[in-house]
Amino acid sequence: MIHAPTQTALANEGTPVSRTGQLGHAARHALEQRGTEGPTGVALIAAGLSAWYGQHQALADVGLEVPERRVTALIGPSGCGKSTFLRWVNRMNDVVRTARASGRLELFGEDVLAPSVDAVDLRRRVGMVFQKPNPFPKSIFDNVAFGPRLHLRLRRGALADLVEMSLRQAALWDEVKDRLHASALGLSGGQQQRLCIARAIAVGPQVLLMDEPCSALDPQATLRIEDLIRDLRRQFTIIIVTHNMQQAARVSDTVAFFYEGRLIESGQTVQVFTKPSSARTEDYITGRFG
Amino acid sequence: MSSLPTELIKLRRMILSMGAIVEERVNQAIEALLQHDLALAERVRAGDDEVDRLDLDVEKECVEILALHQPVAGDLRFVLAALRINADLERIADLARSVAKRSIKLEHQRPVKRPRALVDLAGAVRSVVSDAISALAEQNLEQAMEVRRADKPVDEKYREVFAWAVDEVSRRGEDAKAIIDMLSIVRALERIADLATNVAEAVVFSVGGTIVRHTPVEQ
Repeated sequence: MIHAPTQTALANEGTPVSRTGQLGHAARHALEQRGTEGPTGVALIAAGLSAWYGQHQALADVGLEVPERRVTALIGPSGCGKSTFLRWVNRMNDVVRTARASGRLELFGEDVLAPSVDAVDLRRRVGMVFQKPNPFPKSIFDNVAFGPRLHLRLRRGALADLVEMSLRQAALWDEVKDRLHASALGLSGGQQQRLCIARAIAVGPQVLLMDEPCSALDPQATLRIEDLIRDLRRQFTIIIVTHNMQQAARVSDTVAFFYEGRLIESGQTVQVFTKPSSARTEDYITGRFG
Repeated sequence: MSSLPTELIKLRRMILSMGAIVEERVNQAIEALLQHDLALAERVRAGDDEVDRLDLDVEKECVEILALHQPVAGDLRFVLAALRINADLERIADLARSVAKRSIKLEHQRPVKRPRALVDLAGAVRSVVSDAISALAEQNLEQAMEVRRADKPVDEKYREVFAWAVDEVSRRGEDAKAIIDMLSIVRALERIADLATNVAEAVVFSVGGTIVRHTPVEQ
């Protein structure tokens, strides 16, 4: 017989153990399944991707697959090309006159770099959240409703529902539901960032890009955003650029290490952070340089 | 990977499951020895895979938690304690299997009466293991400290059995083999109690933050 306190402790933890002390087959299976998720498709493929700002080459021959509905973190020292890569995914680099790219970059099979791409629609499907929260100088409601009003035809009731749903998904609803028409600029930094996430979600994107979304936030707000990212990945493919290696380790499923414009290594986060293939990756993540 | 609290709960479940299985194996091995139960001994001898699998799973989980979450304070102590407890539980399971194997050997020889001291030793070892696992389950500092004190009587019983064996071999040489086998079993039981004490010391570290290894036990 198992000692009573162990049985109680196990029961409290929800693990059924038989009277003979054998971990039941079902319980073992449940233990293994918890935390493992099924295979997923590929959201983004980069192959031979190179990019320049004028004469300066920012990316060289990058090949990367970003899995669907997972969090992929891009890490590397300043100037390594990770933000450049991110900004090509939704063609934000179009606004930089000297920026150009070659190679292949496909989002769910569609060539993102083709001149015929509707960049505005692309940026609806691929939302972006920036380092410094940038709410519009409008009400909380109007911030979230802005995109849907532009892209979707919705009756007023449906619009209000959509705003609520987006704010709930961004874990902000409870804090703002009684002041939706107050100015967004009155929110704290962390709240503003969650508002920006709600704003991006409201137009129904497939992918969320986040460029150092927590750099301007305090530790508490950062942890809340990380919890939110873990939840959001059930629905969206998330690519996050971060300087904070511990954050990359905590929050991502796969990680890609960039250095001097090249992709040095990419793989499952747990693999890269326990046994990286490249010595340069090991040096970077252990803090020996960068 | 999910959040740190979720992973810590998962790790705790794995360690508790392992503790429950190992405690049961020890009890069964001792039961088989005292009751001359060959079938039970055979079951213990054959059944080590579950523990070996959990051993690898726990170590993997600890490495991943340390790499991906960089825990501090109580969380860090818990993960480090889990690594030690994991290794000790796996060794206890190995020794229980060894006791079962030797019990089977013993049954195939001329019967030798189990001395009173051996029966008492087996009972004491059962208690030490049970109390250590209980302290682990309940994160009970007091009980863990008690386990450390309970190791001394086990050592005394072991010396009693040793003295009996020396005496018995000189009187009944034809049973020497069986007596020596019994000594090996008792040695394994004494080692089980030592390892259970290690588990208790790891609980003291995890809960109280103090390393009590190599510190004399207050009686």
